[in-house]
Amino acid sequence: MLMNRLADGDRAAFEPLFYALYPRAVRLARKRVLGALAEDVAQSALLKVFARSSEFTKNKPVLPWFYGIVANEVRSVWRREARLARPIAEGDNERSPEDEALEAELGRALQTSHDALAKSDREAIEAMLGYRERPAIDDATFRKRVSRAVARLRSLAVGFYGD
Amino acid sequence: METSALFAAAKRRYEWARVVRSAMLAAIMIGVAALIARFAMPNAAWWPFPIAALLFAGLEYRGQAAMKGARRGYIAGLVLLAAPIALLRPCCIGMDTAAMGTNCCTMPSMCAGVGVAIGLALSLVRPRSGSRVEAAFGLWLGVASIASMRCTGLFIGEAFGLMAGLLAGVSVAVPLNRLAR
Repeated sequence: MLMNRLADGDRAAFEPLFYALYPRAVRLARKRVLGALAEDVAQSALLKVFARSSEFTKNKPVLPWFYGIVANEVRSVWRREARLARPIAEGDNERSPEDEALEAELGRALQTSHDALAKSDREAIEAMLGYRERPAIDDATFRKRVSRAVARLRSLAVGFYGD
Repeated sequence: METSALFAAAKRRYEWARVVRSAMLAAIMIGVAALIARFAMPNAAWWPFPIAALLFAGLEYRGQAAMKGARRGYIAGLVLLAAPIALLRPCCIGMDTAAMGTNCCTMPSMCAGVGVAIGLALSLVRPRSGSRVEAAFGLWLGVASIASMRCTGLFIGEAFGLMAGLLAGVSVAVPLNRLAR
C-alpha cells in the first residue's frame, strides 16, 4: 500500500498518493462546504494528511483514516463559518457524505477486485450469490471453491480499498 | 493554491513531520540507553550519547531498510550495554573487580568474538524488505552507536575488536539475503 510505504519513508510513494488523495479531498469538501472555501478546506486537509502520514498505522485501511481527517477539517470550518456549511436537503440520506464516499470507494474496490479475479473464482462467487447456475460438483468441493474465491476477492479488495 | 504549490507544500510538511518525529524517537531511544548505562556503567563517558542520538535521528528520518535495521541494532546494543563486563572480559572473573575496577585485564579477542556473535545474530533478524546493504548498514550503525558506550569502559584494542566484530557479523546480512532468495 502506498501509505504504508510513505509511512516507512519511501519518498517514491508520495507523488502517486498525492494525486490519488487530492481529488477525493476536493470532492468531499465540495459536498460539505459552499463556495470557493471548499478548495481551501481540501488543501488544508491534504496538508494535515501528509504531515501525519509517518504516524499512520500500517496495514490499516487508508481511506477511512483519510476521510476522517478531511471531515474534521470541514467541521473546523463550520465552527468558524456556519453559513458556509452546505445544507442537507429534505429527503437526503441521513448518512454523512464521508460515509457515502467510503461506501462508494468500497463499491468501486469490490467491483475492480471482482473484475480482476480469475474466471473460475468469479463464477464460484456468482453461483454462491445466485447470479448463475451452480456447477455440478458436490457441496464440499463447491464450498471450498467459494471459500478460496472469497479469500482472493478480499485480498484484492484490501489492496484496492487501502490505496 | 496551485496544485504544484500544494504538492511542494505537502512534501515540505511530510519531511518536516519526519524530522520532528525522528528527533523525538531518537531522544527516547537514547534516554533509555542512558538509563541503562547509568546502572551498568556508572562512570560512562557522556560524549557517545549525542552522537548516537544524531545517528538514530538520521536513520529514522531516512526510513525504510536503514531505519528498520537500526531499530533492530538498537535492541542488540541495549543488550550489550546491559551485559556485565565479564562477558567482554572473562579474564576479570574471580578477580577483585570492586577493588581493581573494570581495568582488571584486557581481552581484545574476546571483544571481537562477542562482536561477531552479536553481529551474526543480528544478520538473522535483518530486515527482509528493501536494500540489503542499507539494512546491514542500519544494523551496524544501530548496534555500534549503543555498543560504543560500552567501549568507553574498554581499552582501545578491545573497543576496536568489538566494533570490527560487529561489522564482520552484520556484513553477513548482505550475502545472506542473496542466498535466501
